[in-house]
Amino acid sequence: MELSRIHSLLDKYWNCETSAYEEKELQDFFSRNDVPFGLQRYAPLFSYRETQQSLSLGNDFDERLKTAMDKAKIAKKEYVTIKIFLPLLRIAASVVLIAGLGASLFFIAKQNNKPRFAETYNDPDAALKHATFALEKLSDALQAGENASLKTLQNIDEMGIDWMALDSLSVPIHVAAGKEEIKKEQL
Amino acid sequence: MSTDKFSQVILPLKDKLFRLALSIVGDKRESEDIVQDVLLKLWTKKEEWDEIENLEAYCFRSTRNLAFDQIATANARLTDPTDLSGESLRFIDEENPHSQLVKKERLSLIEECTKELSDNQRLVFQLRDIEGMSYKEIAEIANISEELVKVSLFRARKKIREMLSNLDNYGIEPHT
Amino acid sequence: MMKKYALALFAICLASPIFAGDFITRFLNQCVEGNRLVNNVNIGKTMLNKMIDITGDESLKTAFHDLRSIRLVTTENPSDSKFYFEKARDLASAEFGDYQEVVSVNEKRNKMSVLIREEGSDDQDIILILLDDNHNLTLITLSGKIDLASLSKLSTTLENRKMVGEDEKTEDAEDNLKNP
Repeated sequence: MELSRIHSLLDKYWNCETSAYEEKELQDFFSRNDVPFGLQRYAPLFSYRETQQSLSLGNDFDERLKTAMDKAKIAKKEYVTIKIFLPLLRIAASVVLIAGLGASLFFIAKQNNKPRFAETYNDPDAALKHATFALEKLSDALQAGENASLKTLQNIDEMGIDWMALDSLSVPIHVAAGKEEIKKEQL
Repeated sequence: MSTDKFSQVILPLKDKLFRLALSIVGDKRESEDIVQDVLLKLWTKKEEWDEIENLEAYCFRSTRNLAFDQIATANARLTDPTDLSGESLRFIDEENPHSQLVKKERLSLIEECTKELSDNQRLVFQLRDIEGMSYKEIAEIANISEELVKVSLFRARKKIREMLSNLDNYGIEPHT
Repeated sequence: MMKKYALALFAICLASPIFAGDFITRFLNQCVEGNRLVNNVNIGKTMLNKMIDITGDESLKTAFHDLRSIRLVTTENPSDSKFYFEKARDLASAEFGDYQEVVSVNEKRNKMSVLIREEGSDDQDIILILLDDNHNLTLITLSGKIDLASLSKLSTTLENRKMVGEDEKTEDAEDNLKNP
């Protein structure tokens, strides 16, 4: 490889006019042992490129990913998530149907504000605060489970979903994708 | 249909995504996690693939965003900064100890230099110099014009060149 | 200082056989990492009894009387909350599969699970795993005699009481200061 060619390639490189192939040429050149003194300062850049290019994920990455994907699949099997956009209220409610509970149950989560306080272990008053917080949170959660909005129930009734088919979970859920179908103007 | 697309189009990107995350976050483990998150999220959003114009660009953007989030959180927590000098990236070669040392120092200097670049410059440098992508592809990912890609790359390489030249002038004794 | 004391108490709680199989115990043991701190409060029978005397609310008194323990873990940092939420969910499905899930919400930024196990007619365990859209994670376990119906009504009752009783509480507090 002629030195003059290298110099001109290098100039092109600084001008961002090199092709990927030409950059590889430079990389190969700088990885040799006989780089002339005046050019040695640039060697680290090209060896950095080389090192970086060879970095890759370990073998266990694919396995880990597969495990996570399988877990996601299982989780999906247990729930059918139907997104309903309620135009009037401007909230997207995620409705979760739990298979196998017999009756269809619909839950809408509320938004809660959490009080803040310091934790202590020996102070009954502080413990009381925490206990109350805990019981309230749990209570809200249970209420969310019970108090399905009548409107939403109606909404879902009107969709005419075949619950038996859904329960058997062998029907692909297109409802989630077809948001337009679900939007209801009349509420 | 979707599984094929995933394994043929998306999965092969994993190493590139990993390197991109690594260039931002500096930690191998965290970068792996980020790529896992990106791929898993994409996998679970199968229904939306048709709506995404360029899946590959989307993956890169997603990775980049997650990586930046990671840094933001780390800063917010005010814990010790993640090892941004790239412990994991030291290059071991067989030359004499002096030049080995020189090379080691210079390598982390390249990394330190890339930290000095703007976000766009760093991204463009990573995608062009390391991943060999075309300006068009880079423009798609970074959501900037091809012109700006070239400008950013120009500035990035210029900065690195200057740093290497300065070091050579002030730091190292000349070989005979 | 407080941390040392808390850790010691915490260690005692863990050693206690009562808590060995508890969700939060296992969570603290297996999932919590030193660089991601959580807030943890553990309230056992002794404290529950003390609280019966302190509170004026009847439904709370009953609850405290019937329960054996209330345990709480919270985090507020978005990254930690997300991290621990996944861990909690994993732990629940891995080692608490005998519980029945009675409430589940899987929204983008609001996720919650309530799991219940019935040991006997007067002996239940509840697990709550909640990640809200303010990046707060809340884990709660209750053990003891749990009446779901009254527990469900509890927050409404407390809400009502709060509206009425705020002034009374302040007066009580001032009284206590004057008459220690």
